[in-house]
Amino acid sequence: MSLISELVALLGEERVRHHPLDLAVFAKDSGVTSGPVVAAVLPETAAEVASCVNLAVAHGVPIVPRGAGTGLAGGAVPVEPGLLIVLTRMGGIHEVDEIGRTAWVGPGLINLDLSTSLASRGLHFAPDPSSQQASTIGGNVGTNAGGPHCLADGTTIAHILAAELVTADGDIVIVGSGAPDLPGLDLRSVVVGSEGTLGIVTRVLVRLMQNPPDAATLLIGFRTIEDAAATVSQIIASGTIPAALEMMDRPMIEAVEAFVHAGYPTDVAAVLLAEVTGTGQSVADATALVESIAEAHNAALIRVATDSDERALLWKGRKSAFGAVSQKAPDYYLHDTVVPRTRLVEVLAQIYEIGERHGVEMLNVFHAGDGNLHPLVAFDANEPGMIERVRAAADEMVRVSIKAGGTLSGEHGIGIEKRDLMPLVFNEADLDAQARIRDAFDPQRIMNPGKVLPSGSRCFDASGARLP
Amino acid sequence: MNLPSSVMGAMRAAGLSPSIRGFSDEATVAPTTAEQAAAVLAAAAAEDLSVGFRGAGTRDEVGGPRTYAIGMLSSGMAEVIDWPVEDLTIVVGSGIAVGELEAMLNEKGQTSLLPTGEPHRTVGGIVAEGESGYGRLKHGPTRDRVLEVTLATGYGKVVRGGGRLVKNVTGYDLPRLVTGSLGSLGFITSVCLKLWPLPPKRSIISVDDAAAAYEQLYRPFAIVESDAGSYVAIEGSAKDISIQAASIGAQIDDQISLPTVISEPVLISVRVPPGSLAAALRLVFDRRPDRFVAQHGVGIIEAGWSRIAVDQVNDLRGKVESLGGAAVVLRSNGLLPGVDPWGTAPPTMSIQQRLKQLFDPSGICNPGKLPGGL
Ligand SMILES: Cc1cc2nc3c(=O)[nH]c(=O)nc-3n(C[C@H](O)[C@H](O)[C@H](O)COP(=O)(O)OP(=O)(O)OC[C@H]3O[C@@H](n4cnc5c(N)ncnc54)[C@H](O)[C@@H]3O)c2cc1C
Repeated sequence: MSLISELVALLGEERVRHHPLDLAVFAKDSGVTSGPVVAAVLPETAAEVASCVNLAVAHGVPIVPRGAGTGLAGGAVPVEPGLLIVLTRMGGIHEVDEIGRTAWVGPGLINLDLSTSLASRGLHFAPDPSSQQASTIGGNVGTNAGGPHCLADGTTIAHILAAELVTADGDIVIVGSGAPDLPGLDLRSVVVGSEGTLGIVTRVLVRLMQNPPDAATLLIGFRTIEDAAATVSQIIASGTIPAALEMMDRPMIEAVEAFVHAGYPTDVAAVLLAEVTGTGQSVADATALVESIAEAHNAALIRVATDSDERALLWKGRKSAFGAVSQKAPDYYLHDTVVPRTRLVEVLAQIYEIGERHGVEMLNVFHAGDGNLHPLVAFDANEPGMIERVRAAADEMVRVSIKAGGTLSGEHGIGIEKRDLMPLVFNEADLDAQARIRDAFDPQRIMNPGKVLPSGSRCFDASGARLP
Repeated sequence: MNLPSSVMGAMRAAGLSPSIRGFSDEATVAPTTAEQAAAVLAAAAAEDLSVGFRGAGTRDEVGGPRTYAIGMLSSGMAEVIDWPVEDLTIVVGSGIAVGELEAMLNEKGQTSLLPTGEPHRTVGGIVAEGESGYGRLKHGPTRDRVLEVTLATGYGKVVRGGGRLVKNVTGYDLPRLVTGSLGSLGFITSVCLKLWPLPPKRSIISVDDAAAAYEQLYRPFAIVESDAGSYVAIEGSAKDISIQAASIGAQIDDQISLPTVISEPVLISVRVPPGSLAAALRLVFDRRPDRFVAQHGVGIIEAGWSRIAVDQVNDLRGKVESLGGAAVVLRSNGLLPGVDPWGTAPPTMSIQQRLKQLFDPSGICNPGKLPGGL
C-alpha cells in the first residue's frame, strides 16, 4: 500500500491532505524558502502521531513537524519530499496546577490563548513572540521562541518543564519532569530549540508565572541611537532588569505612525519602550530609576503609563510593527542576530551602511535589552535584481554581527535559512558534537533532515579519528 | 599497576606531570588547557582507562563513591578568561572557586547566583552537578545561566557549544545538556555564565507559614522552610522590602541568614513538583531528619540524618517517586549499603545511553555516576 493510503486508513480522508492546493499551502512557512510535500496529516493523539511516524519510517519518507507555520527560518519546510505532521488539532489545556503554577497543554495550542485562558487565575505563560496570536506552543518549543518579555523571564526553554516526545523509533517518551533536577541527562534542554529534528512534541508541561500586581510602561524618545543604547546598558547595570526593553529606529517609527497612529514622536532618532513590573513600590522605584537614567542621556521625551489601557496604547506601536511594514512594501525580510549589548550602537551603524550600499530600505525594531537585533528590509520582490540585493545585504549583516562577538540567531532559529552559515560560528569539532546529539535521538535521520546542521557535520568516528 | 606508557607519554607530551593523590588508583593530572585535557582523554580512551573528574572534591560521593585509573583535576584552570563587565557575562576556567568568583563579582555589583554555601567548591563542579543557589525561585536554575561550555570529550576532542551571549538559539544547546551531566560526556574546561546585577537590597524575614507566603508574595528571591525556622528573602529598595514584609505581617530582622549547608553523614535530596512540596515534606518529617531545608515554589528538600535505616530510605523513595519526583542520596558515608544513589532509572534510558556512547565511546568519563550505571 502507498504511504498515503495507509495514512488515510489510519486517520480518514479529512485528516490526510494531499491535494495539490493543500501541498502548496504546506510547502512553506513564513520565511523565504519552500519545499516538496508528500502529504500533510492532522493527528489528534500522541498514539496517532507515533503511528504516522512508523508509517513514514517504513516508507522511508522524512518527517517534518509543523505548528502554525509562522516560523521564519524554514524549520517546517521539507528539504526532500516529506510528510508534514501538523499538530494544530492537539491544542488542549489538559491540567492546570495552580499551586505548582504549571499546566500540561497540547502542542497545537496558540500561545496567546494559553495566557488568555489563565488570566482569571492570575497566571500567564511568559514567552510572548510577536506572532503570539498565531504561533503554537509546540512551534515555540521547536524554535525556543523569544519575545519582548523574555528579557527578565528568559526564552521558551526557561518555561518548559517537560515534554512528551514521539521519537524517530515511534516511542512516546517524556523528557524533563515537573520535579526539578530529575536524575539523568536533561534531554529537555536539547529538545527545546531543536526545530523538530529530535522528535515530535505531543504534550508540554509549561511553567506559569504570576501576573504582576502592578506595571508601568515608559515610552522614551532620544535624539541619537547612541543615547538610547547607553540608556539600555545603564538601566540593566543599575540592578533592575525591566520586564521589557524594546527599541525602534526612526524609519520604523515613521512606518508605525503612518499605519496605526500610536502617538510615537516622529522627530527623534529612536524610541525605547521600557516596561517595569512588580508590586506598587517596586514599580515606582524602577520607573523613577529608568526616568532618571533616560534624562541623564538627554531623553527628548518621556511618557509614563500605569493603567492598562494607556499601557496598551504605548505597546500598540511596537506590536503593529510588522503590519506597518507590510503597508510600506509588498515583501519584507526579517533578520535575527544577536550581539553583546555593549556592541549594539557600533553594529547598528554598520547595518545602516550595508543597507545604504545595497540600496535596500532598512527599518529596525528589536529587543535591545538582550542585544537581539531584527533589521528588517522592506522590498518589492518583483523589482529586478532586488532579491539578490536583499540576500547580499542579509549575508553581510550576519557577518558584521558575528565579527562583533555575536551569533546567527537569537530566537527565529537556524532551519534551512542559516544552516550553511553555521561554520561561521562553530568549527568542525563543535558541529560534530552537535551532530552527535542529533544522532542520539535520530540515528536514521528521518526527523526533519537537512535542518540546523550543514551536511557532513558528523566528521569524526567514535575514536575521534576523522571520518573518510 | 602502572599506567601504560602511551598514556604516560600523552601526559608528558602535554606538559603534565602526574602525581598520586589518593582520588585515583594510578595518577592525578591537572591540565592547564582544554587541549591537554583532550589529549589525556584520547590516550586513556585508547587504553580503556577510566578518568575521574574533580573540582574541590566535595561531591565525590554523588552517584556512588568510586576510584578511577586516572584523576583529572580542574585546579589548573582556575582563571577568569574574559569579563566584559557591562555585558553581564563572564568566562571562567572550570577550576575557579565559587567564593572567589562571587567576591569579585559582588565588588562590581554583580552575582552569578551560584550556590556559595561551600565557597571552595569550583564552578565546574557546580555546573557538572547542575546545582542551583537559593535564588532559584526568582531567577531560575543554574542551567539557564550557562551560556557557553568548552568540553574535552571522551573521544578526545575539544568542543564548544552555545556562545557568550545572553540570548542564543544557534544550534543544539550543549551548555544546558552538559549542566548536570556529572562529567559523563567529558571534562568541562571553561564556561560562560550569565550574571545578574545585585539588587539594591536583599532582606531575609522570618515567617510563620512559608506556604502562605508563597501564595501571597510576588516573585520573592526565596522561600525556605527549615528545621531552624521559615524564611522569605525579598529583594528591592528598603522601602519596597518593608512594604512587602508588612503585607504578610512580618518584621525585617537584618541579623537572620538563610540556612547553611547540611553536614550530617547522610544527605538526601528530595525533588518533587512544587505543587507536591507539602506532601513531600510530610514524608520527610515522618522519618525525623536531624536537619532539613525545603524550598517552596522550587520543590527541593535537602535533609540530613546522623543515621537512618535502609528500609526508611527505600520507603521514602517509593513514595516520593509516586509523587513524580526523586529521592537522591547525595551522601551516605557507608550508612546505606545497597541503596542506589538515584532510585528508579529515567524512562529515556535508551536515548541517554546513546548520548553517553556518542560522547564517551569507551565509557571512560566518570563511569557509572549517572543513573542506570551510565
Ligand atoms: C510576524 C511574525 C513575528 C514573529 N515574531 C517572533 C518573535 O517575536 N519571537 C520569536 O521567537 N519568533 C517570532 N516569529 C517566528 C515564529 O512565530 C516562531 O518561530 C514560532 O515559535 C513558530 O511557531 P509555529 O507554531 O508557527 O511553528 P512552525 O513555524 O510550524 O514550526 C517552527 C519549528 O518548530 C518545529 N515544530 C513545530 N511544532 C513542533 C512540535 N509539536 N514538535 C516538534 N517540533 C515542532 C517545526 O518543525 C519547525 O522547525 C515571528 C514570525 C512572524 C511571522
